[in-house]
Amino acid sequence: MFASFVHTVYTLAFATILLLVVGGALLAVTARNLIHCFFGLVGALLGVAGLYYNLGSPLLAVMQVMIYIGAVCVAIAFGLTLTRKQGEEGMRPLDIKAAIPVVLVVAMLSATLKSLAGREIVASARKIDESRIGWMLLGDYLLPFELISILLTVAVIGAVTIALINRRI
Amino acid sequence: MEFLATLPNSLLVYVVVAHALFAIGLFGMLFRRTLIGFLISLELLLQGVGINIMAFGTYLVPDPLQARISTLFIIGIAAAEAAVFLGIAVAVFRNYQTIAVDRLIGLKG
Repeated sequence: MFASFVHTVYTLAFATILLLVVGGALLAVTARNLIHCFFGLVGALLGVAGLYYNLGSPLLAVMQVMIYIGAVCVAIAFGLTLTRKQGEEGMRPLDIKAAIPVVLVVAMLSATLKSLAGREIVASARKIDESRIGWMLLGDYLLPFELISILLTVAVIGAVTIALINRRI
Repeated sequence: MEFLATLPNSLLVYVVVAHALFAIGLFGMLFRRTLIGFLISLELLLQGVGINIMAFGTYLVPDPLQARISTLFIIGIAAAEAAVFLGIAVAVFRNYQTIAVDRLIGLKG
């Protein structure tokens, strides 16, 4: 009795996460006001963190919240306030280009489902020892790890330099 | 209700949500009017890629930690890209007083 109640709550929570992801993404893309877009993005990113947690990776969920919502979204909010201008909101009128994402994604999804057809699922999303990630990052994946640190440093310095240029290009 | 109960542990849900995010992000990249809207759509698109890698890596690959490391790298690269993008947007706004993508047509043939 109690177990089934817990399971129901879990299922409802998962449905809420799915709604948050898709609804937030739709709001982020279609809203007229850019601030509403921003909050839609935050909702979608939170939902994606929930999906990561549900896939058995609390580490990635925390990283998602910290990096995306804590850093990237705050930076986007500042960029939003620095470059705001009346009359430049909303979307361009729809035309034939709207078919591109639909056709592309339907093709990708059908190809994916076709290749998934005979495949058996080897692992469930439980019982993964994530503490090994740190050792892997400092072992087999040392070179990409160091490269990404250099990339981040260069990107931050470059962004500051570009934004500080005070003359016309 | 029984269909709902199997949802959280099936690969299909994650794949479909990831593709939906990718489509929504691509749509926004084509139709938003400003660079900031473009960046927001780009982040959504990268989220779709991340979910896809995590789902396949968790359900189909014997060692699920590789997918986590790939997704961590995607998050890091997306953060770097967002920083550069915002710097460029601020510089463009300072020089042209607009970030509307249909007015930044200096390179249009």
